[in-house]
Amino acid sequence: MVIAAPMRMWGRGGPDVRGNPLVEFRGDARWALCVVAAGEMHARVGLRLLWPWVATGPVTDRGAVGWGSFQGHGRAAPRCLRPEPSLSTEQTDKEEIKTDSEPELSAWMSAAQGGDAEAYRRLLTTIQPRIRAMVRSRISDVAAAEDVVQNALLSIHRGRATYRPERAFVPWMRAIVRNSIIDLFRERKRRGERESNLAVDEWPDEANDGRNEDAVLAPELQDALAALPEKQREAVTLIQIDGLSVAEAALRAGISPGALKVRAHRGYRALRDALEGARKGGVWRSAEPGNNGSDARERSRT
Amino acid sequence: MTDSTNTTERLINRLGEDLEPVRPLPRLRTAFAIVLAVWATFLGLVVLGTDAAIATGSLMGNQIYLASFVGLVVAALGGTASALAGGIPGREKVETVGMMLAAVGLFAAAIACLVGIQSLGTDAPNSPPGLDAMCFREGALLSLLPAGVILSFLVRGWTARPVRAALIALVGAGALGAVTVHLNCGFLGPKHVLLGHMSVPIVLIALGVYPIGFVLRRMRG
Repeated sequence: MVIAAPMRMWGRGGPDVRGNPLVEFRGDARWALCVVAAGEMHARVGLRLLWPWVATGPVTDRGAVGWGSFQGHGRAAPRCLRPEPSLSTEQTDKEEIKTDSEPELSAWMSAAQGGDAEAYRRLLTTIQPRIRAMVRSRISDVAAAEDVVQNALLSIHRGRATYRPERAFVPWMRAIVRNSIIDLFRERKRRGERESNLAVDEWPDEANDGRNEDAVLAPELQDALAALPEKQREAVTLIQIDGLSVAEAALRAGISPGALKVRAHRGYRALRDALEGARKGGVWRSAEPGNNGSDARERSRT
Repeated sequence: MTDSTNTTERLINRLGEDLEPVRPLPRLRTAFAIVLAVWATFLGLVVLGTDAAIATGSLMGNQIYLASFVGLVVAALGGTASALAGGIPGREKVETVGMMLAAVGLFAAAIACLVGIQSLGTDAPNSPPGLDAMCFREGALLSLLPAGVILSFLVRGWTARPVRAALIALVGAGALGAVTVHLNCGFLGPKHVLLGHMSVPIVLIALGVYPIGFVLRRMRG
């Protein structure tokens, strides 16, 4: 049995899948002791801890550890052993996001509320690395973190009317970013880790290199794509063929990133079923336009 | 620069292209004042339409009635402030404090009624047939306008927790309606207060929290 040495034992962690504070442990740990400092936000309840909390428990393969209302969160993945220098929570929350550029950010946001696109771009470009640092200090998975960064930018865009110029910009921005992070964990909890990963990872990364208008799809895939319901087809096309990020695609489709992921995931599943059915049957029978994915599946299985 | 960073840059450009002028939400205190002004106007009309002496007489003449009134007022004010703050990122403190006030207010009002029922025992007056339902109906109707005003702010805002915001908005609006009925009713029975007045926010929550939460979630995107 190895007693874990939490990397950020006394620092602030992010929320785990239950919305509880997250503390990372060394990869060889079997048993962990997690100390949650007073003042930590319990993300699910929305209240801060009034006193420190101690929990112990086994570090499993999936990284879950502990018992009680607050749990630590251990990870065996090697990448968790090396915090990136720029991602320290202390730096993120206390030093990097300082308010020295606050008046500038505030002025840009006010101008953006008036429709000044240039000021808006400048604002988003300036805050983007700061948001990324905040997110990466809580989420070690780079792809998921970038997803959250984009969702946070989208949320800032959609909630820009709630900013008041006489109030500080950074706390407003931080609240949105924090909620974007919590949204990710809630979404993972709701759908299960398998589904949330599937939406992004099911197709190879090469498909995400950018717009891929000249890509030639296999005829079977083209047919299966054409047989999808329109909304699912749009989601799959925007993400996988146009190479847009989830946030970009959501903006284009005019829906939330979560809703777009659901549509895309359903689309992937329908495509997979259709293609598997065709492969098993040995013959691919083209789906008629206007039919949905389930019709295509039924035909391919008969 | 990684691919994902590139897509973020592209997103920023798209957001810039998508930008349209927006009117900032009013300050929290202004929004709060607007909701209260709407409610006060309603309350004034209701009290003027009946006998104001009944209202003040009921309040002053019965401690339990007064205690439940104070509890409902606290719940109304706390719930309204909390709900409005729930639509503005960075106002979590107001949201939390308001939510606690609303819970304490409702709890205190309910305890006052229960204590009244307990202390009166079999002497507790039974309300005339249909009075509970009538007060509840009036309270629910009177809470619709404040609820509409609060929700209009929430829809324009950005709610981090849509279901919770809907719940607190309904507590606030329901308690505002219940307070209006409370001042207008004049029947002092604690059982009636519990069933006819305090049930307004509870039933509104039961009926509306998930549909409204769903709408707020969709509006937030």
